Amino acid sequence: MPVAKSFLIGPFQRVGCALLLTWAPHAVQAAQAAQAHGLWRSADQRAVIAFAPCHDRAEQLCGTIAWDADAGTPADTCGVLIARLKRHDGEAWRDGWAYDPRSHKHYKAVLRVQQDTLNLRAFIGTELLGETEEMKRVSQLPPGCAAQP
Amino acid sequence: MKFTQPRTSALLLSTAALWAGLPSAQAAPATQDEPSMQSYAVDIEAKLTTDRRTNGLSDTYRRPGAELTLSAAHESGWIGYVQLGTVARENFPGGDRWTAVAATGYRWGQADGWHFGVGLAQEMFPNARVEAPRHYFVDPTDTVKTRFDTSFAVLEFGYGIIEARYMQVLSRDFRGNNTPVVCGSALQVGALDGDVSEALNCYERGDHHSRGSQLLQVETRLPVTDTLQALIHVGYTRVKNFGFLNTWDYRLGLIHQRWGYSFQADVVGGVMNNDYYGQVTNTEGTRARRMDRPALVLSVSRKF
Repeated sequence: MPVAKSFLIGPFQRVGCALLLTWAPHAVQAAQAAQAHGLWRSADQRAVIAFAPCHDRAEQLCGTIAWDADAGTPADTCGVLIARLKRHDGEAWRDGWAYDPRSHKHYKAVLRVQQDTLNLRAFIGTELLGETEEMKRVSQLPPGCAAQP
Repeated sequence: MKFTQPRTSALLLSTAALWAGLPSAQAAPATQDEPSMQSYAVDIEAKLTTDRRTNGLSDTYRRPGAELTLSAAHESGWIGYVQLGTVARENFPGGDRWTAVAATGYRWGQADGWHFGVGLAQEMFPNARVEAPRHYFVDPTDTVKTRFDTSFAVLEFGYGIIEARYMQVLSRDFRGNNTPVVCGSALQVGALDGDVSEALNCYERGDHHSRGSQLLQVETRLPVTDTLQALIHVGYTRVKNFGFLNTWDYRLGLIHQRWGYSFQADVVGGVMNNDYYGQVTNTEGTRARRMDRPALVLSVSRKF
């Protein structure tokens, strides 16, 4: 009988459960934050971005162009840091920026991952005034960039 | 890498596209971690199309057209919008074959949730003007000059990728729709087949203008693949005092992004209460063509 059974939990077990309940959300949040790590191909198929903990601050997320279809040309953007997000709030990476290497402009940014889709939304002011770059996870990096992360 | 725009508004206070190539204002001084952020964005888009339609009806006499759109957004929520487009003299007599739409407003809310916008818009048709009798069958010399310029109050509301827009006409006429123009047009069409009874009925309804006309448009863009979107648009135009001009319009299409261009194929049409008024005569008055007829419209556009 489930109700009676619950009284059988001893004090240590209760402490253990409490710790587990306290720890579990953090673990889930950390796992969600880490979902952004990896290689992501841009919608136009012309770039692959590597998202990983930032070299200087491991708690932040950095996105670097790991492959560019224009590699080796004057438009080569290999190795350019295009995003830095400071914190993950359980739902999205926030408080950061995204950089457009074509126009050399920085915008506020928010990053969300849903399974194998990464949405990097760049905006001014509020998220409403922005655009989303939808990226798909890839497992391998095409050859091209001389300095790959 | 070029960032793409997952959803845009079709008319007036469109969401300003970012990642533009124009100079933008800079905020606070940059540091390594905190580069200076853009405080506003400007976007320019050029488009070629096989038919320029507004609310389901052709503005180019079902011929090809072009448009240039400039949209701007400030971090405060302010939106600015200017669009130049080609139109036909058959639709806007005496005009310079181009139109301009200017709009400004304010947007707020959540991108993925409820969001809203309010604004004002002005549609202009330089030099387009009609001088037509108030009642042709009563006194053909009592003429009225009508311009097609129109002012709108705009209210936008949306949820996620679903966008809706309500517009109310503030100017005396909605795109020149008043008794002399509407009934005069019916008279021209009737003269072609020798039956002017519809025009006569039109004049008998009295002398009216169309201030207070209302438009409602609902639109969404559904992602199909990484580079393909489906467009669904439904609209309703209620022309004040001219109920027979009320029109349902639709646009169903596919938008494909490739090589930095957007290729679009839409089925567009309008369903007018009395489709007799969907006809417009050519400048010589020798034949009429339906402006509401469903058509496959192909377009290509590029952002700069």
